[in-house]
Amino acid sequence: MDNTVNFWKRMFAFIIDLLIINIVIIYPFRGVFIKYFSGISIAQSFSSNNIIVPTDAYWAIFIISILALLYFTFFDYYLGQTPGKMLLKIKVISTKDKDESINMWRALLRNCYVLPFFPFYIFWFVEPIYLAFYKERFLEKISSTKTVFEESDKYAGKNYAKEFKLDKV
Amino acid sequence: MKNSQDDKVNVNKKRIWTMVKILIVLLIFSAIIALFFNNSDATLTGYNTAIISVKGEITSESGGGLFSADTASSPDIINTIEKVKNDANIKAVIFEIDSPGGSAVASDEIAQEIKSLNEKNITTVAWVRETGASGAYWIASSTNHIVANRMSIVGSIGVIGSYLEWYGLMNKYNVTYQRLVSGEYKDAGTPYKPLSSAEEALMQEKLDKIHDYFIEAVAQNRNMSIDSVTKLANGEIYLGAEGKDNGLVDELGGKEEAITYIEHKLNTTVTTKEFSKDKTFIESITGVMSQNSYYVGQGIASGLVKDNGLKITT
Repeated sequence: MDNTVNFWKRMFAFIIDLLIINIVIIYPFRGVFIKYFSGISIAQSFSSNNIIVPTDAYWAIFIISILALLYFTFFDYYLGQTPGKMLLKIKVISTKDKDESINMWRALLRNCYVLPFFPFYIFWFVEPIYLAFYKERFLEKISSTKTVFEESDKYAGKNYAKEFKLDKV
Repeated sequence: MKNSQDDKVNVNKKRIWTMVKILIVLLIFSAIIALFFNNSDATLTGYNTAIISVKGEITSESGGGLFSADTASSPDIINTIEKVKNDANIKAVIFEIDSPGGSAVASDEIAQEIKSLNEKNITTVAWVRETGASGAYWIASSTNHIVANRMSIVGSIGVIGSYLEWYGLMNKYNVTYQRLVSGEYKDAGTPYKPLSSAEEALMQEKLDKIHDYFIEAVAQNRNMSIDSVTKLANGEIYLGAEGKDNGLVDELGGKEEAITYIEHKLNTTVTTKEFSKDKTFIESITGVMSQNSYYVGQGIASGLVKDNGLKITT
């Protein structure tokens, strides 16, 4: 069975993860957004020079992005898959390590596109284009990781779960 | 067979439990940090004096992103002053000035906005650092009290509209300027042709008018006569100590002196808070350097001011 995961499965897994991030990470910050962005549509908030973002809100956005990065990194490292990937039955493996489970640095590198500041936001444009042409993300290539089907012949049954303990975070 | 199925169930349970633990940890971190933001206003009360920076060349264009050069943008500073006006805690404002001047229009805009603070009985103090000259002095003069270091540069009450004329160089390389205008003075000040005496006289008249406005503003703000300001308004720069002698500066010193003045005037202890331009959404997200245009001296007319031609600054 070809273990290359198609674009749409990856996209849906990502959307599920974004929904979870909304609940777990962004929802606690709703007070900040209500305070500074109430009455402003999403489209308006992206129009340059029109909407002023107070310093507090700027830092909140920054911290949310760091937590989102930790979300993807921890799940890829400890479980080899985020909840979204788990539901879509796909997972992440290392192409360099013998046991194919990814280390923390690889997990961090493959997910650094989440950060919304220079130079990381460049990947918002690079990744979809690279994925369209090469069926893998650019960051996956440089982090030597790969997204595969859980049940593909090569990876079926392999358990990449590491124990999650707070003192190891 | 049954054992391997049991193992699989146990592994899945372990995985789900790991997932839940990670989600709980992230939720707790988010909640704790968000709590800090939700209460952030509470931690910042107790201030009564705003500090607003006026640094760099004064321009009427909005300021740029993280990597743009420092300019004192009048829309940004006015926006900050509006924020201060709407903050009931603020009783005084210290303008920290370090600028060589710039756009006459932008300087006047900021000065007018400072006067609106005075009208609201908010005490304003200009604290001049290295330089508070020309347009920056125009701004400083609109405050209630000017504090400068004895070696600060103040004054330079004058207007400049000099520019490089490329006519000779063009001529050398057989480059010609095709003049197509309607309106005799439409291209006055263009660097591609010599300035005629009539044009020069016209420009000088406009410069003199702006100079008069500048003098009037300083005289009114500093409670000095037009004559006494005119004597000082030959474009000369003055050290802070000289400014103290000739009436352009109220007190020699620094931030401490500015604060002491406010404390005496308001009979209260001063607690300061810095106010600055808020980042736009795009600036916050991208931090991209934006283009800053340096418009100077729009007082004459935009039609007479070309990108490479005549520029008028205070």
